[in-house]
Amino acid sequence: MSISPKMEEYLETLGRLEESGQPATVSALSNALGVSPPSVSEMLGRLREQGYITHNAREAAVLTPTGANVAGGLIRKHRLWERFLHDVLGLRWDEVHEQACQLEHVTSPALEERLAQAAGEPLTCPHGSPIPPAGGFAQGLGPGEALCSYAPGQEGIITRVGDDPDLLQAFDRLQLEPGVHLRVLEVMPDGAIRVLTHGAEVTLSTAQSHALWLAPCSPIADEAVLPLGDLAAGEIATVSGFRAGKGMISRCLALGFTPGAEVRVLQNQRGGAMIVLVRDTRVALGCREAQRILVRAKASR
Amino acid sequence: MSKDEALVALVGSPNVGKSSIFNRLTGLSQHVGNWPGKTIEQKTGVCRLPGSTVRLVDLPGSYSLSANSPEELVTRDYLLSAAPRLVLVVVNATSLERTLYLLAEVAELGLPVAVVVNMLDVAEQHGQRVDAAALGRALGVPVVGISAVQASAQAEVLDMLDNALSAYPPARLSPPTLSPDLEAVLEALQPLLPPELSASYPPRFTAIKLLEGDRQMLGLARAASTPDGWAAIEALLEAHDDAVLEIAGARYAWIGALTQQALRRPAHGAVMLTERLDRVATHPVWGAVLLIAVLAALYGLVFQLSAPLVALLESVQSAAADWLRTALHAQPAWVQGLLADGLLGGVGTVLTLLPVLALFFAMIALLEDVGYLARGAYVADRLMHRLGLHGKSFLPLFLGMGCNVPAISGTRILDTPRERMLTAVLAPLVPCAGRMSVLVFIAGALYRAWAPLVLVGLLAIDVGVIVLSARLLGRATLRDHAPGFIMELPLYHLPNARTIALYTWQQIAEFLRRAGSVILLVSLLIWALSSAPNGVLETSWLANIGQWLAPFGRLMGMDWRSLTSLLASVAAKEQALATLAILTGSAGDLSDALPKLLSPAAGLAFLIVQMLFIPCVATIAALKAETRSWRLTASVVAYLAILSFGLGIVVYQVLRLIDWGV
Repeated sequence: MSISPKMEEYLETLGRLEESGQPATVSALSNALGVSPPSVSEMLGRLREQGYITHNAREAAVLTPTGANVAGGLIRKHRLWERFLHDVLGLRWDEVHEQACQLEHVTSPALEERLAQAAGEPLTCPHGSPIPPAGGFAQGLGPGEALCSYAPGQEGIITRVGDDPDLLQAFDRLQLEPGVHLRVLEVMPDGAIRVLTHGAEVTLSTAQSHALWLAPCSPIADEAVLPLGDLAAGEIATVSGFRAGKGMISRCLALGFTPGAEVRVLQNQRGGAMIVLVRDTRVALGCREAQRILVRAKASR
Repeated sequence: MSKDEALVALVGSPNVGKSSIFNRLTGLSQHVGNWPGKTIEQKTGVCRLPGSTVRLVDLPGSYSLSANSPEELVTRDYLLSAAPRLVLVVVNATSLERTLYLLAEVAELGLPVAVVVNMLDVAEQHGQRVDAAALGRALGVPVVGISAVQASAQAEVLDMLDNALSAYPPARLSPPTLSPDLEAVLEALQPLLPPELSASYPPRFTAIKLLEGDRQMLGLARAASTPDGWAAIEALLEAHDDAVLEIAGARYAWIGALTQQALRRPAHGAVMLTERLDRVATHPVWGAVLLIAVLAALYGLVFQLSAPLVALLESVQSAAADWLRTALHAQPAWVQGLLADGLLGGVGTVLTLLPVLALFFAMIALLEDVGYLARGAYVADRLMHRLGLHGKSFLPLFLGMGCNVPAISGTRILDTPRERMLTAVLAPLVPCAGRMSVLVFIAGALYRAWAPLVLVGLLAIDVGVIVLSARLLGRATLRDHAPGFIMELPLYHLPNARTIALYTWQQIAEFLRRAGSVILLVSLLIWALSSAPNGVLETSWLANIGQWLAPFGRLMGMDWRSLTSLLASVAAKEQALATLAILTGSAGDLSDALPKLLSPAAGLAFLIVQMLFIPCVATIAALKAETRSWRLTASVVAYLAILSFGLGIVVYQVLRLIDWGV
């Protein structure tokens, strides 16, 4: 039996709610889909008749294995499209969600497979949400707690951002994307949060702090450890770690920035790029990159 | 590939002098192409040994075998799929430890290995001594130390290649050992890998890459695994999240042990040549001054040196045309015209462009070879940052002054698709040598002594247009922040004439291949259009097209001939001159014909349109190849057309209002 695009939309929304651990009640669905509660109830009835969902004790809809399969497939296509539109076609990350919403319903399994190949079998969408495996359904949205649950002094690395276009544009301006390190400085009474990122202080609104998820990382407990970018020309230090995503870490390691390696600062244009000597190699780093490598200062000459 | 040819893969980090070794070994037997489905250059060549022939494949420069860049992915996939008889790893004596990192990864693949330690001379100049024999004993594989600039280098490498290939069994490296804990994790991980993946990738290598968090390998593993199998792999990987640091640490420990006997460092505190030069070259103020001075000198030198050559080629061309007409006097007029004007005119256009292009490529190769280009990128980063670009974007845009085609292809050195796209879209705005030669010629003919001033003004307008376009594009279509900037600054060293000559030759050959025939064909087409149907220019088809567009041209003070030549310049920028020459019937004395054709004001409009108008077909083709989007390519073309004609009209109308040079 074929599924209508409307039913697909419901199943996908149910999948997203389930993924994020929220109960799929009539009101939650009506909010997410912008549909009146009576129509939601009616559609849920049809989905239950056809075996895609059941209801749990608290009257929330729960996907059956068949339903989860459909929902997982749609979420996968959606996020693959987002990846492809963003990485290959160069669309902005606040544009891809809407486009993907339409494309996901007309994507055949063969196209889905080619799409995954063309995008390089990606594991996450540009916003950091996991792409379920082919024929599967991802439980949970991967590591990370919403920024609003962080207390002053706590630090984390962004794993995921919400897909609201306005917020995404704001994050873009602030250079907040997966892999970026944040430290919470202050939580205001109205829920806004003041954070330190890229070496500068920024205040994030309540809405923004609810749309950023971070994997906690332990704050620098040791006074002697500081970002490489804070060193002045002539100072010598050893690499102690990173505040960055896997890709950046891998590049740094290949260039010789391994924990324990000695780094000498040759030049540091504050706010601009810097040049360091690591393993007999001169490496030029942008100020953002220099903030992501942590070092333990040794001595200066 | 024939049976008795041995396949040898040449690998190395960027800046180890791999290309000069490849050039030395293969010379002009090189074949340059692209990796299937990629826009990365693939070079293969043949070199002869006493007992055999070697097919050498130059793999793109890679710091590691992780999929951090398309180059690294190409290198990895090639080594795994092609099963070369030998992997020749090039390392740099001036940064031995870091360039051996790639060797530590290659060791993991279990392929036969030999090592070339290059740049012994540069290391020596910087007080660093590398004992290649000691390194060879420690590694247990053939090692040779050379300075690629020295003539004896070729024989030494060939000798080692011969020994390495005839050794039986071939020498293999023992890969770095990890801590017992991590080795246990690797043991546990390998049986979990899907069979499909193990068939194409060695299990231990795959397991290490998964632990390192290699995105491409993770994606492949998940796509090939059953859901349960993937869950087991994922659980294991999550439990050893920081293994990536330990693995890299183990590789450097392995390298440290190997180089203990082989490496002697300079005395602490010695100030090296590179450091002294960098005090100026990377200085926030002096570095920028130097960069501008270098660019200005480069422009000046190229045009000074090429001017007599171009003049010579032009006189040869017109002499040949005269000779052809005399020789063909018995033939019908259209045959004479076709050969003497159409064909020879087109050939002449290509020829007169070659000196400028060759000099530009040679200068760029020189700057790259001595190590200055990376400094230029570093200094330019501040400016590029403001344009929402990476300092590295400076390199392709800089190359664009030679020819837009390599500029657009050169965007491959950038790390993210966004930067590549933005830089590729901006590149056609950079005035290439072809365009500059047209601008210089026309400005010279029209404005005589004032020509330099006019040219400087034009370039200022161009820079303004590039800056505004970068801002506009950055805001409108691409994310508006400068991306990651990490790049190596190689040590300064003496340039190698051979490397430079080969690079120049390859670029020229590439240009002739891509653009030469197009220019020729369009020359013929233009000639045919301007001769048909009855051999009279004024009533030809081309005249009809031009006259049809004439009302539009009048907005810029141009008649149909100027318009037609602008349209023809789409074929190749330098085609503008050839078309003008044919249309004004002045093959040898275009300089005298030009002032009659264009008033000073109309001339300015013409120059502006010529500078900013749609790039040549070769550039459009490169743009399509690089962005892989016809829509984007068409948008760029439309943007440039509107921009150039708009500015041309504005300039002419303003000059008309103030009654200057109309």
